[in-house]
Amino acid sequence: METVEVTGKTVDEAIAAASSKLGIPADRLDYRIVSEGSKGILGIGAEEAKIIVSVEPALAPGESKPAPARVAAVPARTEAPEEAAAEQAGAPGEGAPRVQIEDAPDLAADLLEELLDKMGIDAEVEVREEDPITLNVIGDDLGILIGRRGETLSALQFIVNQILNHQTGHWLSVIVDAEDYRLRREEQLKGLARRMADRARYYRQPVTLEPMPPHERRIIHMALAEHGSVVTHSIGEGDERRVVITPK
Amino acid sequence: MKELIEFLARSLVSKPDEVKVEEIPSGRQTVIELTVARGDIGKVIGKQGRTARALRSLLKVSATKQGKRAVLEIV
Repeated sequence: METVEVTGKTVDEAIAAASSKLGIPADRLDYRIVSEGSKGILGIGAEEAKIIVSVEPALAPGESKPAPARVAAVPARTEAPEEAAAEQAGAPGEGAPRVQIEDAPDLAADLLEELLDKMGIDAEVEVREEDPITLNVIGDDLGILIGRRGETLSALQFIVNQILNHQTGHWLSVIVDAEDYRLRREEQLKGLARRMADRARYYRQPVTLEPMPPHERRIIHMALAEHGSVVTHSIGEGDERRVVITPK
Repeated sequence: MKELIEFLARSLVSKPDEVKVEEIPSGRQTVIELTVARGDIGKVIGKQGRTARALRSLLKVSATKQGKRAVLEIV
């Protein structure tokens, strides 16, 4: 593994810069934060945020174009040399993946069912959508599986994706839902976005929402993207990142 | 709980045969001790501990279902 140092005004900017420089999506970067950076006082003592990104040798900047980097970034986790070599030759599909990708929704559903069984949860899994693959868990009393603000559901989704990625060598991006929680949450967030946009416009003041995970912030941004009288952006870092709705 | 962590760890690592899980009761709490091959430690911990955090979160569901408390230790 090689490492590359990238700086920016904030950690987010450094990540964005690293992502475009290396052609690897920001959510797939393997990075470590060296310095969070600080604004200083009146610009005095300001320090740039610095991150160190780990890159596969084949992906070092200048040696690869964005597109192949994206493909090659996947087998980086599997550590199956022959497979990684095949994928890096630039032909996903010709690298003899262990499963047919058409089976992916069923494969994902089977994995989730087995996982729920091992967790002692009595529930059924339905494939709600094939693209993107969306699984919905149906059963009684699934609050425990959803957790506060959907945190347990997110953990479940994360693990399902890690396992599928490891076993198939493909990044499938499976969405895991339970009792339609994510659907309901999306409607709720859209409603919230509209109400808070009205408030921002009425009081002519920015409205700051509660901290939310990335996909929830995206729903807010999308809901108000076409809105005539407000604009949105996000502030804060990590778990504290929140959307601000500002009247135009 | 042990089966859950065993299943998850085996599904995540390159050397599933080297996954070992011990269930150690200590009072009202159970310690689940996970051992994997050296090169696989990163796979069960993940970037900034994300995988480990997710494993703990799923273990908690499983433990709560049985009315128990459990902690995961990766050694």
